[in-house]
Amino acid sequence: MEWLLTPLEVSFVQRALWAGLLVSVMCAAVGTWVVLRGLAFLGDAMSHGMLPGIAVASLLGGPLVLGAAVAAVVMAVGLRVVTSRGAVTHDTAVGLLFVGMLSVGVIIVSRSQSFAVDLTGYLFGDVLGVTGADLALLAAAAFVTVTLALALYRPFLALTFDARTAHTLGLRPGLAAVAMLLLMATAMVASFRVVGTLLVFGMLLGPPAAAAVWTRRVSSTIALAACLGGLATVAGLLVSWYARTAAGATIAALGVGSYFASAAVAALLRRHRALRRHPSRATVRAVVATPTRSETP
Amino acid sequence: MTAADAAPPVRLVDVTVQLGGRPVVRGVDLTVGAGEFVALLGTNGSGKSTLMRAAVGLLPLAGGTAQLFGSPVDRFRAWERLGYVPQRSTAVSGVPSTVGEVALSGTLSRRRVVGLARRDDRRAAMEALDRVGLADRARDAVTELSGGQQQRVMIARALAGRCDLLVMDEPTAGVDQESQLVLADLFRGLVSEGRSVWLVAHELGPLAALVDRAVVLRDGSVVHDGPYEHAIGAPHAHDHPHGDEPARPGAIGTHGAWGSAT
Repeated sequence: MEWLLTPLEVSFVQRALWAGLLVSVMCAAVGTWVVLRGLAFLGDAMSHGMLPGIAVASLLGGPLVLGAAVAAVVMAVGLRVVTSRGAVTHDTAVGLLFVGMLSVGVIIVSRSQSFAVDLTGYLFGDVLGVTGADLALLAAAAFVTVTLALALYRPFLALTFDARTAHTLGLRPGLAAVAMLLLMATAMVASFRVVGTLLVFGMLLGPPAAAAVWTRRVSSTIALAACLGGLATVAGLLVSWYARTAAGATIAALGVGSYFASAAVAALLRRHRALRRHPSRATVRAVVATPTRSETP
Repeated sequence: MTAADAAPPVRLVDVTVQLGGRPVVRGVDLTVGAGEFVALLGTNGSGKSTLMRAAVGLLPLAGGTAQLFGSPVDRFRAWERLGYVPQRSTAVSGVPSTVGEVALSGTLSRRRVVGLARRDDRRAAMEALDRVGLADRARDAVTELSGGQQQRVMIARALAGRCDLLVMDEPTAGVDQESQLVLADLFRGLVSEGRSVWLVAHELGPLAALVDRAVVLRDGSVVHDGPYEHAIGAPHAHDHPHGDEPARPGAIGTHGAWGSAT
C-alpha cells in the first residue's frame, strides 16, 4: 500500500489529483452528451479554436482563461453564422472554423518574439504545476457545468433521443444546442491550463464512451464516466510518478484506453456467452474455414 | 369554453409544401375532428409523410394554412395536446436508455423542462406504458425490445403528455402481428375517449376496421377523402366490391389500389 500513498503525500501531486478529479467529473457530465450526440468533431474544433484567444491574452499579459473564453464564444457565434448564412453543411463549417482559428493562433504565436505561448503546454497542459487558484477555478467550473448538465438532463435526453420529437414537445433544439456548446466551452476553458486542450478532449470522450458500453441509462453513464475518469487520474499519476512519464498525457491515455479496454472486454463477454449458448458454432466455423484456406492457391 | 376548444385538432387548408424547391404537397385540404380516426394513405413519394411533418410544424409551409387546435402551427404552444410519433428509423439510436426513461421524456411537453420529473409525470409515463402493454418492461433497456415493442414505446412517449391528438408516421410499418393488435386496441380506446388519431400508413392491417376516414394522396394531392372501403377501390372502383362489405383486417395491403400505383 505504501507505493500507492507515497506519491500522494507530495503536495503538487495532491493538487494534480484534485485537479484531475474535478476535470473528470466535469468531463463526465458534459462529455457523455458529446459522445451520445456525436459532437466529437465539434469538441475537437472548440478545443483547438481557443488558441488565438490564448495567444493574444498571453501577448497582452491578460488572463489566459479570458482569452480562451473569448475565442470559444467567437467559435460558437461563427459556427452559427456560417451554418445559417453559408451554403455548407455543419460539418464543413466546423472544419473551416477549426483550421482557420488554429492557423490564426499559430501565426500570432510565431510572430511574437518572446514565444510567450508554449504550444506544447497548450496541447498537453501541466497537471503537476497546478496552483491553488487553478483549483478554485476548476471547482467553480465543475460546479456550474454539473449543475447545468443535471438541470437540463431531461431536455438533453429528449433531444438526444430524437430532435423531431423534441420539437413537438415544445423544446427548442437550437437553444439546447447552444447550451451544450456553452457547457463544452466552459469545461475546456477551465481545464486547458491543467491538462491541455488535447487532453481535455481525451477525458471528454474516453471515459463517457467507455461507460456507455456498460450502462443502460444516460444518468448511470455519467456516473460511471466520472468514476472511470477519476480512476484514470489516480492511475495516471502513479504511473507517471514511477515510470517518469508525462503526467497529463498518461492520464489522458488511460482515459482513452478505458474505452478500448471496455469495448474489448464487452466483445469477449459476448463471444463467451454466444459460445456457451451454441457450443457447436465454434467447431462449425473451424470446419468451414479449413476448405476455404486450402482452396486459395 | 374558448373558440380554440371547439376548433378541430387538425385543420389544413390549401397546404403546399416544398422540399428542395420542388412542390411535394400541393393544395391539400384535410381536417381531423375531435374523436376522429383518420388514416393518410398513399404510395412512397406521394407526400403523405411530408404533409404530416408540415402539419406538426417540422417543415415550413410554402402555401396555405395549417392549424392545430385552432392556432396556426407556427404559433402553436399547447404541445401537451399533441403526441407525435416520427418514422421508426429515429427511435433512440445508440442512446443507452430504459423503456421508462423514453416514455418519461414525453412528459416534457407539460411545461417542466428544468429539473427532475414530478411524481405526476412518472405516473403519466407509467399509464402510457400500460396502455401499450409494456408497463412490466419499464426498467428494461430499449435495445432489448423487438421492433414492434420499440414502436410501442415511441407511442407511449407520445401518449405520456396525455395528448388529445396522436399523430403517427407509419406506426405499423414492420410491426409484428401482436403489436398491431395491441395498437388497434389502444387506438380504439383513445377514440372512444374523444381523442383524435391521425396516422400515415402503407397498409392498415387490423386497423382497417377502426378508421373513420381515409385520405389518399397521390403526387401530393388528395384523390380520396371518405370511408376507407371506398378508398380501396377509389382509383378503379369497378374492380372491387365495396361499401356494404366491411374491410377484412390484414388483407388490405395486398390489393389496395394505392399499392398498385407504384
